[in-house]
Amino acid sequence: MKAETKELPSEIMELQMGPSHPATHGTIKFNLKLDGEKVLDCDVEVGFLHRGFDKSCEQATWTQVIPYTDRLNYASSLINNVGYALAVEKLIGAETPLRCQYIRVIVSELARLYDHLTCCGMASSELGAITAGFYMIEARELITRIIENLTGARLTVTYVRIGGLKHDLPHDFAESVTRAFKTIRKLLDDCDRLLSRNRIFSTACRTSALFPGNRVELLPHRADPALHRRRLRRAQGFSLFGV
Amino acid sequence: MANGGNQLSTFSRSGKLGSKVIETSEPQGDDVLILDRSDLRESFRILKEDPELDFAFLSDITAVDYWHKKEPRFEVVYQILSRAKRRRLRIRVPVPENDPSVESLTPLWRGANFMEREVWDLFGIRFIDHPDLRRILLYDEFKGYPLRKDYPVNLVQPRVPERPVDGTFVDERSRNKLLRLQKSLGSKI
Repeated sequence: MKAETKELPSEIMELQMGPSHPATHGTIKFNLKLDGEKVLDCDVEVGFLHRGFDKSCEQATWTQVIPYTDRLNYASSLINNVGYALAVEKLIGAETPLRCQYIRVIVSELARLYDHLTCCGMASSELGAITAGFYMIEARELITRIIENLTGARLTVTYVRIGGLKHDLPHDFAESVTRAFKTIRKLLDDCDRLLSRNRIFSTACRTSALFPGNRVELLPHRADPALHRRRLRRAQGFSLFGV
Repeated sequence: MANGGNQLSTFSRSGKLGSKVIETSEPQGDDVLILDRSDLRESFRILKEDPELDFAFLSDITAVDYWHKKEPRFEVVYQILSRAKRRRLRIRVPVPENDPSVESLTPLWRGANFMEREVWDLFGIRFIDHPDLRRILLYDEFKGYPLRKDYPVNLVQPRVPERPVDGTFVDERSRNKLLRLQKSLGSKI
């Protein structure tokens, strides 16, 4: 007799996930429509953490805005500093000294690594690979120490000024970065071994949120994370990137 | 900067966008186009789909309030990007105060959806044919549009009563217990 698979009768469930859910880093609410495990519809409410920075900046002078830019994304406050300073310098037509530009690129790259380690670490611990998450946070801590040594703060750095920087690099900057990156490389090798061939992690990454054929333009609007960013930065002469 | 170049000559009045172009300029080496708001989506369709222009990527939508500084009062600002030609273009669309509305670009770029909702939420500029024009960051009961320059920064909004949500489970036990106690103890509670 032929086996017949029967679908269980299902009913569409409306579920409110959030505003404070352990799986979301921060407050955000998803109004979900579920059919079993399948998400049919997701209406996102994003406003819980809106802090009105743009309105506050209207009342501030141009230099007073820099501490606000630290707080836009705590994982890459240095990059936010640099981006804001570049915009203001473009408006007033000011050019910074070459040494300042190089330092800005170096600290931006440190912040970028910090940000990637945060996001990848969180993503892997969300998928159950908590060990790799902690290893990345350890690597991130080493970068935090460099940033702390450089700026005096771990997160809200306020290091960049319009037309320059708060101060020069500390005298032992090169050695401390070299030393830290020896350890970071080892940690990242461990993360590679933990994640790259981890079935759950790679399946989850490869099968969700796909870009068909890399044709980002055709998709619902996506800010492409790494796809062409470097190429674009180079093409448009963003600071000294790609010199 | 490699961004500049003479691409703006494509947009002269006899060019592809014809009489929709009000003005072209290059402040600080950026290419800026001021467009008329009539048939805006058609202008953007040309910018997106014409193989010579190829601005396929919409980076950002925002608005500026020139209160007491300029007429018309608002400008909606679009940043578009051609990945193939490696060029960026800023498009400014003047919008008057008495009818703050422009055509929605959501049919062209699905990603325009949230950005247009944000501009509606904070500037009160309406997007015609938008599929879902609700406030995005603020709550529905919020009065006014906070990024307009005539909205005071320290204005306090009134408290809103709790909104009943359809289908939420409400535990009536504690309320029932309170009612029982009130009944047995009379007015002492």
